Amino acid sequence: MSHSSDSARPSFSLGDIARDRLRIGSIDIQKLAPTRDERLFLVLSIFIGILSGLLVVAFRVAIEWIKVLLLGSAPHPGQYRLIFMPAGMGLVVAALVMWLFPGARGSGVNQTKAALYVYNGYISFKTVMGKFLTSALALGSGHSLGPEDPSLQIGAGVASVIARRLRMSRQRLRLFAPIGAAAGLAAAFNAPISAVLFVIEEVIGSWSAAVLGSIVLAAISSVVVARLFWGAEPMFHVPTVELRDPRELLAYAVLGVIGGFVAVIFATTLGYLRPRLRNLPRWTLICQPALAGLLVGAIGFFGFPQVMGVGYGVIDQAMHAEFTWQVLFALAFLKLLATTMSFSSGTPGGMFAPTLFIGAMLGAAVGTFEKLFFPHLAGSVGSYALVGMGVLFAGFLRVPLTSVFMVLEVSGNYSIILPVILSNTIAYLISRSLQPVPIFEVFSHQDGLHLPSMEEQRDEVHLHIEDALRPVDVPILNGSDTLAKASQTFASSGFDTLLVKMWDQNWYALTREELTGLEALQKPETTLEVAVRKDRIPELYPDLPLDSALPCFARWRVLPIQNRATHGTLEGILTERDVLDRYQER
Amino acid sequence: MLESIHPLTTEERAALRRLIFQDAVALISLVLIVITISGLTYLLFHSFKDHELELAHRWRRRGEVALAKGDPNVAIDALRSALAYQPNRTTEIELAEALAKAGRIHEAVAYFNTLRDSEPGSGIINLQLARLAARQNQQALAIHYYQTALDGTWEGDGYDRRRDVRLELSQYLISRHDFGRARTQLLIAAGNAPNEPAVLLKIAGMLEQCESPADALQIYRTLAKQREPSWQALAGAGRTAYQLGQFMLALQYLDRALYARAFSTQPATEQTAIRAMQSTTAQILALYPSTDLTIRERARRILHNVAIARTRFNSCEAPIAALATAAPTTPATPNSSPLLPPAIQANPLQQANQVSAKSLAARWAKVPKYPSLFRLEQNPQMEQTLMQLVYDTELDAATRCGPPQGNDALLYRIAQAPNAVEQR
Repeated sequence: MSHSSDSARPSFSLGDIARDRLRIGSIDIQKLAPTRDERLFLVLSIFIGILSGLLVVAFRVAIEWIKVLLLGSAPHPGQYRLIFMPAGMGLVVAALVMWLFPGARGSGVNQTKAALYVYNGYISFKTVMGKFLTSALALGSGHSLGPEDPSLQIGAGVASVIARRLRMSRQRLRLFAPIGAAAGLAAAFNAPISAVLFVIEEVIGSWSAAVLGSIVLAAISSVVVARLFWGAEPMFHVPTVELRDPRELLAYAVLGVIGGFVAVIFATTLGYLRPRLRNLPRWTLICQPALAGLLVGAIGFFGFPQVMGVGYGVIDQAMHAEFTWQVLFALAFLKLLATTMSFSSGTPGGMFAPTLFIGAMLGAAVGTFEKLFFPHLAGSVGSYALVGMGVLFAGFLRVPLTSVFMVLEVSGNYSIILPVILSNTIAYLISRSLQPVPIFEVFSHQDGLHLPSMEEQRDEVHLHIEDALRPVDVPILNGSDTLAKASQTFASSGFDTLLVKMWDQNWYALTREELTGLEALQKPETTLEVAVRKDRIPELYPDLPLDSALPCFARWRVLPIQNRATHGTLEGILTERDVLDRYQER
Repeated sequence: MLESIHPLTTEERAALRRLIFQDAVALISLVLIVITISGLTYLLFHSFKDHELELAHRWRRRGEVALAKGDPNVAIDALRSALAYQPNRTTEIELAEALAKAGRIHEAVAYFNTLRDSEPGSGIINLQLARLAARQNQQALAIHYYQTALDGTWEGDGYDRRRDVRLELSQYLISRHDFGRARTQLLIAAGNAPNEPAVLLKIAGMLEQCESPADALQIYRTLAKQREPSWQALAGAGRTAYQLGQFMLALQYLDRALYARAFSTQPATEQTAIRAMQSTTAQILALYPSTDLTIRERARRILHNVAIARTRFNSCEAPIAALATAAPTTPATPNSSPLLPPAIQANPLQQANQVSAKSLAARWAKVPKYPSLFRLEQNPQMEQTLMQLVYDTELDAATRCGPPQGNDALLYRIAQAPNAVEQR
């Protein structure tokens, strides 16, 4: 396992702690108050949302303060501090990460996911503090990274600390990390729906009804808090999009194609550089953020200070068509370079803002180009920038659902949905076909972790009962038939099992051995309804997962598969052999 | 929260009480922590917001000063910084203006277009786009944006701003020699500003530029009727009346302009021009056989004018006659006669001119060499015929023999609109 994963792992057994905390003296809390966790869960979700919202607001303000203090109120090319500050702060941040806050390294998304799946939801308070401090210093000094992923980890950390203090059970403790993550991200983006979807798509990796309510509650609480400070206005103001001509969708499709390829380039570069830098001798780790800072600073010093820091202001400028298409392409390329260096060097900070930045620049470039050469077709440059953000989000982070809602939420503009869906889908498909493993999964594999993802689930082929179904070839009797008739049927058919349809349309599978036993104890004219045991075969339907049939074979040799519309009517039957054969065919 | 199905033992009850207490303390602590962090975040947030406002104000001031000093590149950086701290429509427009002034036309157009997308009816944004389109020689687009600006919304002094836009549009149309549309816009502007002398004066001046002296004269005369008319109005009225051939009227206004106190404060070139115009007008009126004159004086002036015109005709007739003698039936070819003025050579109208010259010669042949003053006094029909011959001769000679000089020039001016001379 790599450095960060080692350092992030706590030095004591979390299982022991969890067990200890579930007891008061020798008494099990679960036994004493079995519904306590469930009730506290919802209350704490709100507290987590509020606290995460407050911390994220403080985090964002801290970044802005540090930026003004270190880079001045209006950084412009030619200022030497643009070079020195990121480099110097890179050294400070590297030292802090190396010796004080090892858990603060990286973006925060994978760390949160690891906390959920590997460390029972444990994120230390020290990691939260470290993430806050180091990310604020790095972003404030101009490193080309974003505040959203750290916000996500800060939220998850807050949730973890609170849940531990309240001695929640281990199962609950694990669920608190994604709740806090959603709260942190929602506050950072001012977008609760996107945050919830991202946590489901990227952190949890599956749709979990158990935690959905709490995630939504926490996300909304944190957004309410954030809006008390920032206001309810969307992050970016883009005019209403009107498709003047259906041919304009072609331009959006082109944007999707460009975004898809750029996403692949971005992901491939990061995936290539990050492990190579991390495998360099340990002493170089302290220099890498400084060198990355030097490069980013040099880009700023020699003409493009827009690349430095978070870059929301620049995104807004691009949306207001303040740059020519040549400058926009240059900014997209330089941001890609700067972010790759900053992130690969291990500087704490996220990938969301740079992704949005690059996407917005590409989108605005395509929009400006179109406006220049095909003015009768072009919509506003702002709408292209906005769609571009979604495109790279879908292609690079590989969260298609989140990408659509993120664009809608950050702009508060629902008229843009058609171009967004078109472009995002194209970018997503291109990226997925050229880079099968999503970037966060690549990072976790590089860290030695193999965590579940929704992308894996998308690739999985789920078998259903209908895939192993075969026609009804066993004899069928009614519950009103006698034991004698059943005996005759067995004798004439040669089958070991026959199905019995009871008066209430339920089914019973009678075996030859069972019939022999029944005949020894009861008269031949006894009806099967009376003679057989009282249990019945569970109702199974063709659309159910194939594995749902497996537990039934412990009791029944043959399973009748019923029609959902006509109760009691058979679609076919299933045996254990059929199921196993079907699985082995895959 | 703490229900249990089975009866609790003493130890379990104690543990339950401890658990309730611990949970309550934990939740209260959580509330206190939330309150504390809220306070800290509030302080941090507002300290930064205040600082942001201060920075936005500072950078905006710098940008505006730079823009006023004509340093748009500095203004661009400053205004961008201001916008980063506090987005503001006025600053955005100033930034776009700075981009335009810095010659970054494409950026400025794109920026204004984006502003227009969010506020399509904004007068100021459409006006700026019109100016940029005008700079890029996109006439149709410029006129479209000017028109949208006229119909758009304006903050505060919307009436004045719309009038200024209309005048700017008119000036643009004049510069493009689209005088018809410019005149329409100016007349609308004049109609909208009946009580604003300074504006009317400007409109009249622009009407003169778009070759509509009659409309200009009307405005000047309105202004000249005021109690203390401006010198510009008097001079303008004199000048436009002079252009229209209304010399009687022109002389009135030019005299008033000459004797106005403001005359001495005018630029020397202006003074000279007015003096010359007044002098010419006086000379023209001295030649003109006005119906207000006595019959004798009128007849005497007609005879004087006939003598001038005859001399002009004779001096101009010689080359024509030579040409007619040399090649009476052959159409003139280029350079066929060095005696003819170059403008006439190879001119398709040459033959028509020859015909006209012959007809004039015939008319002159009927006029006695020394017409009797007495006969003229008795015959008003003859007066008219002779004066018409004088006018036709001067007009014809001007086209065939070059610009007239001296009295011929004066008669030529009268000949252009003889009926206008006495119009008031």
